[in-house]
Amino acid sequence: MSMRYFLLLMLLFAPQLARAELKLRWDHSKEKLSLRISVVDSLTEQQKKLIYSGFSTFSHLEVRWLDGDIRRSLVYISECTIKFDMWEDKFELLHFLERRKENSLQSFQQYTDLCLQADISNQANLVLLASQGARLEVRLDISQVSNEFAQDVRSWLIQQQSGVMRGLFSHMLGDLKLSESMQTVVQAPPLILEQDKRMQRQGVKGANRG
Amino acid sequence: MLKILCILIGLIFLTGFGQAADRQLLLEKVDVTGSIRLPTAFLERELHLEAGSQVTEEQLTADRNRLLGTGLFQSVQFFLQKGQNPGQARLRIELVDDPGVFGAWAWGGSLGLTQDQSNSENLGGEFNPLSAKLQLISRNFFNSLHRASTAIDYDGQGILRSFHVAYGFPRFAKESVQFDARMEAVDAQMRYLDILGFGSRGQAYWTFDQNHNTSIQYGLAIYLNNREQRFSLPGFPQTLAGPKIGLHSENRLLSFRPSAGYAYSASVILSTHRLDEIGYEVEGAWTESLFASSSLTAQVQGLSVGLESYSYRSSLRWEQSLPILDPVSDPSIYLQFIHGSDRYKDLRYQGHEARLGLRFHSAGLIADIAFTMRTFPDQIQEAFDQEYEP
Repeated sequence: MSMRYFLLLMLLFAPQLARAELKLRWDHSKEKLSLRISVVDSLTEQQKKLIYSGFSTFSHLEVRWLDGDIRRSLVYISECTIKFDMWEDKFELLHFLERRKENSLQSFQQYTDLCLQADISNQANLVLLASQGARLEVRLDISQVSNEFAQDVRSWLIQQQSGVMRGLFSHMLGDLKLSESMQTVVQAPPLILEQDKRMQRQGVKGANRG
Repeated sequence: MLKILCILIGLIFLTGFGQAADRQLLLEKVDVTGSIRLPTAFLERELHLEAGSQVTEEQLTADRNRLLGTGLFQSVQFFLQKGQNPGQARLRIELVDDPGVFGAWAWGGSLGLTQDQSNSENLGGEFNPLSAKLQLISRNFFNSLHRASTAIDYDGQGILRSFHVAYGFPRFAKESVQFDARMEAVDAQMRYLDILGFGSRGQAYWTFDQNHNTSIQYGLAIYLNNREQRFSLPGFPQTLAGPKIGLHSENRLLSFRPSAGYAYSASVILSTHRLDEIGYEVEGAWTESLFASSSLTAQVQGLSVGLESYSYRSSLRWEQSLPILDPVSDPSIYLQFIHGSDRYKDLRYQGHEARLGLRFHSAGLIADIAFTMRTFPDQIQEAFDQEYEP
């Protein structure tokens, strides 16, 4: 009886879990193999609002190895600064960590391809991922406050401690929430398994056609 | 000639692009949502954000950061939308109140309960009744960024052992000047380690921020040891009063738990009483993060009046967070050792204290429950008796 309830619960929650999943695929389209993880479908409402806020918006995307619950080394990092121009209805790329040449992104799609998609192409990481698969932690922070300004804000708060109020001013201070964050864990399958699946799908399609 | 012309044309183009990047916006409407801590009218006046005003993104970004620096909000986000009139923009400011303080005036408080066992015969030598210390702060008095705090410390017999009142005039975060005043009095015999050379103090000074978390302070200070009052250190200089000039530097954020870093300060009080009674104050603190959410803080304070008297307090505090309990209230235990000494001519006091406590916070209140073992100087009572002998 309890097993039936458990299965029922699993069925109820399954669609929600599926919606929260990130898009992950092995990409062979370019000369080099890469693993692509897109976070665009996992953006929160507040993150979407910030992107279209009309102000400079900073995005920080990082992917890390997970060993159990322990965070390991960085697999991918990307930082972008964009601004949505509401008069011209287009995105302006102000800064990109990898210094690409584009400075004007005509569409949301171009922005997401560049800034909201991890493109893991490092050879050493790929060898491990392709052979064994891995659990990866994906984190996206979107903020209107750059790291430099975050330091400034912290300094202003510290300087307000310097008077006779001292710690009494700040000892009640909670954490500043300077960015909207999304964090999730994704299971990257080994490349061989992916290829097997694709071959199976192609085989099924071929059989159907036949 | 042609080259110069090309350079000039190039410069004109570059200047033009620069202006385009810093586009002027004509505000049609400003909406503020999420908080009642700063009224819209106050914000419009202080930030010059009124309908019809022209602003740049740079100005708005600076305004947003100033709001974040007030310490009233956990989050500040600005959003622009096209206005109903062509070429005009609507600004929406979304605020989230800092949950560390509550209410429109941003109240916070702390309650400390201490059970102490003293080795001093004058203090009973047995378990003294529980003493209680209550502190209240407001970071937004009158909804206009005035700051105030007060604290009272009663022992189990209902006798007031210390109190303070402090007031800070408003400043917007990025403004580099603030003015604060504070008055405090401490029972020298029962709270010996909470004083430094004087039982009563009054200070009022301006603080001017400099670069690298450093500030210069100047104002007035009056330190007193009033005869026939328990808020005094008997046998010590009675008055130190005059202009105070100091330097303070700190890179630690002293929130519920201090961040890693340092603090140091030095100041001079130019006594108007006697030229050879200049007061010198120094303070240094250092906090280091250790393994597994624990930290260690070392602190030293010193005060001397001329070359005849000196006082110092030193403390070492280890704090460890307790993840096993409710993480929202961020509980931690701490162990602290304090040592202090005061010397003037032939008189010398010395005391030390070990304190084991539990801290946590909830709904803007910090609770601090501690057990202390204190050794306070018995000579204070003897000096009191001699001083007040008819």
